[in-house]
Amino acid sequence: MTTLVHLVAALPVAGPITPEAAEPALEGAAAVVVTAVAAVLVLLGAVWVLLSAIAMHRVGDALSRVNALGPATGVGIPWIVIGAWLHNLTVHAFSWIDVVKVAITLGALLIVSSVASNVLARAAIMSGAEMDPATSPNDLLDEPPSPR
Amino acid sequence: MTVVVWLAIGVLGAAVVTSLWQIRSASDAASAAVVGDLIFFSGVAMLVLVSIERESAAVVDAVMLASLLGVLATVALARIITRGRR
Repeated sequence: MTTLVHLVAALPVAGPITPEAAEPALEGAAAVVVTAVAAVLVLLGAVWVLLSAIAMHRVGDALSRVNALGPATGVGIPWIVIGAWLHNLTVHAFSWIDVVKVAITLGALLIVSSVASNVLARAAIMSGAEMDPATSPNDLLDEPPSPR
Repeated sequence: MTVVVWLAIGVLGAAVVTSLWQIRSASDAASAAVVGDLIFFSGVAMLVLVSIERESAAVVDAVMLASLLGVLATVALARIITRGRR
């Protein structure tokens, strides 16, 4: 029992949070401006996603719907993520870890979701989904041109 | 900022409802898969907005993982549509 008490007493105690560490990265007028920019980015980002959803109604075939997904993943959600990061600066201290996380998220949204859309579009064509007859060129389904 | 966040969540909710309606009237499986993808990304965006409201660091990690691994769901749906053909 005494050993346990000694062990607990020997554990490092977390120090008090220093004021610098708890202070937000931006304060005063700069924080107001950044918050306003973040609010605009967040709202317009959500509107982009809604526009993408409406566009899916207006187009006729699955291939065009894959295209209509672009504004949501390419513009809308990156804007929302950037807005969240800007708002984070007015609440928490600046940290490079957060910058890396935001960069990875943006990269994933732009690159990984593009690859996913490509795979899905290919699957839509291969599954024989209806397509706009004006879709051209269509190398996946067309016969290769005969060599002359 | 709270008002803006809830307004944005409302807009995203409208997008989700529109998409669900679209899935209900979808003519082929590929369209339903694409619209499902949009619903997934709307959910990710709502997570970001929740992280603004709660000022939580864990949600940021969740958003990063969701955007990195969301491709798996899309590729799985693509394989289902083509019955395993590449």
